[in-house]
Amino acid sequence: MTTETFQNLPVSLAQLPSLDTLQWQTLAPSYTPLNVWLNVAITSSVALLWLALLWQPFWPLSTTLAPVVFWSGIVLCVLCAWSCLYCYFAYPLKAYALRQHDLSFQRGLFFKTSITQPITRIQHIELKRGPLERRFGLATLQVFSAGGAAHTFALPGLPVADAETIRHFILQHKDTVQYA
Amino acid sequence: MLENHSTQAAPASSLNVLQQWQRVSPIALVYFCLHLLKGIFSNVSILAPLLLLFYKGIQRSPGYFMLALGVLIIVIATIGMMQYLAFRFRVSEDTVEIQSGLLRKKQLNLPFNRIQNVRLLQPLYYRFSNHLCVVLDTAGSNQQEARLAALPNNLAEALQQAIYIQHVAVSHSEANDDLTSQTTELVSDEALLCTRSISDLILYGISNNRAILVMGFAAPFYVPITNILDQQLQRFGIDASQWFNYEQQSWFWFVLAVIATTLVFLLIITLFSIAASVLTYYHFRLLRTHDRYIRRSGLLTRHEISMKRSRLQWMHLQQDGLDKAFGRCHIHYEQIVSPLAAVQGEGQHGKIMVPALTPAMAQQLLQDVYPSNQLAVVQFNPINWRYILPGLVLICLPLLVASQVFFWPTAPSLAYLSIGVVMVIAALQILRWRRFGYAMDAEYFYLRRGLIGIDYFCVPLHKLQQLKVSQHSFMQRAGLRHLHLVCAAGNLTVPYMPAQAAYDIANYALYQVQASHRSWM
Repeated sequence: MTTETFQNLPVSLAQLPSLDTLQWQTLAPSYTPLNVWLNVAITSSVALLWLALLWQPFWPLSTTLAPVVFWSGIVLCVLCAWSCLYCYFAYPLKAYALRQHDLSFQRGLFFKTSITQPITRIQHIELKRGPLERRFGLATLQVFSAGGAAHTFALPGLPVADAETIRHFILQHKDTVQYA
Repeated sequence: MLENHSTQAAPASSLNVLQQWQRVSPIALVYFCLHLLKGIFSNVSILAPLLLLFYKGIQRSPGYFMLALGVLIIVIATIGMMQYLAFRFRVSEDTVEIQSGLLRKKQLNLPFNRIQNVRLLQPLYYRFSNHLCVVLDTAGSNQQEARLAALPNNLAEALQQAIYIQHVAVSHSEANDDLTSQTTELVSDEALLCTRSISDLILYGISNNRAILVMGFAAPFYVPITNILDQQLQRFGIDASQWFNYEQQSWFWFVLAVIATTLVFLLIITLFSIAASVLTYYHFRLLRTHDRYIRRSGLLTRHEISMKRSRLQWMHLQQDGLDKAFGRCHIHYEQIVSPLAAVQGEGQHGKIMVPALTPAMAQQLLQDVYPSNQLAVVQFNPINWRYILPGLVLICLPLLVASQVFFWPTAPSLAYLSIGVVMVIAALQILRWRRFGYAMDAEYFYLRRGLIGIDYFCVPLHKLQQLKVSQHSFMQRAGLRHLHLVCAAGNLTVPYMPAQAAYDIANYALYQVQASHRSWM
């Protein structure tokens, strides 16, 4: 009797909403330049400090220490310059996608990662704004699940209005309301 | 509602005794003092220089040493006494309230519904007076626990039951379920799932012993230990160092002596491991109530761990190298791990582990938890062979080149040896690749992984918390992905799997999470 109404249809994997066809949205236009300039500023201050240490007349470096300072400074400057370059090429690739039931974020140049956070598993949500982010009207959205602190889902570089909208969307989501 | 009250009244009435502010039973004094001692001696690394000083002191003036020891005992006893006097508690209105602390007064209010778990411990010295130590775990953003050091058996059990009944009442209040039947069930229905005999525990002790690890950690002490042993043996007229002197002995005897010594060490460490296993798991019983799994065991201190069934995140079958020889495996019931608890070494409290099961029994337990799981029959898919490439190119190749360049001119035999070592590393890499396997059915995700031993995971898809797909440029070209499934019990990674399969699993898992609306806890 009841068996007639009970259905157990096979779920076709091909018909499920797919992660590899997400519609990615880019972050705020000011996000990449801000980070590139930030990296350039850090790099140049590191380089300046290094040069100052090499050339200052007050505390002459010993013959054993001088090459160490020289080479470690070069390595440090190269690393900083590399992070500027990486920032320039990789940050524009960061993107997020919002669907009815989940939130995704992708990043990476050589190592690409895309993270998907189902909204029904969200424990709580935070909007973070540092001094620079406030100056440029940006915000970082942090989403916490029971997966632990190492798996905090963070969406950086969102325009404040967008971040607020997403936050509102998540908080109003019936799964969050019902199960949180 | 009246009936509800009457069923709740049974444990509650015995709890009436606890309504006034009171101290725990006086036997807790022993508990407090031993706890203090344990606290002091667990910091042995800090105390080591002090102990050395003491040791020198004993030799010079034993009298003063005895005095110091006496003072120490009196101080510990006094602090224990004061802690005992300062600790007061009461249970009222579904809340446990605790006042404690000597210098810093603390007051803790624990509503029953904030208490995740009630663990009952029975140290050896409580057994004669029938007392239990009640540990109240309150998981949450900050892991806290409260201990009622000594309660009479019946009160402790009544308190535990009252707290669990409150849980059932809360979880069913929205659904307006038949509370009466639930609560009466709770009191009576403990089904025994599994016991472990001494021989099982001995097997577990042997297979789970960390002998090699211990020997590795002890490496810095080899020289002093052998020196001391040598001196002691010389006193009995045994010249042990002569056995290991390969200028005086033939190679055969030398090798024999080395092997024999190693075996003796292994035997001693294994015996310790067996003793530890029996101490912890003696009289092992795994029980199931209508909403919980309960583990009870212990030779000296009896432990009870209980886990809510809905909190269970996945099942983990573990078979180490030696287990395979014995044909045994261990099952872990794993629930949410709080990172803080893991750091404090408290992570084990949340888990239930059943040691040394035969595959058939393991299968039976698994069926009991997840009736529709197909771990035993499922066909595991292999991961791509490119998994071994990073290890070969980034570890084996540089090691090989460096060792050959370095050793050929001076010590060709070492060069040959290093070729052998690199080949072993490569072989292990290949073995690890062969071990990886993944599978999925309508409800579960299965993962097989390991090196010498094998681990199996059976994960209900709806427990998924977060999902990650990653790849580097070379993988992209070959159509491969890493798939990371993040659950509350941890993170499972399937490396180098075909992109299509990765997305199929990811999409289906998300569908299960989002469409089923089943709770993860």
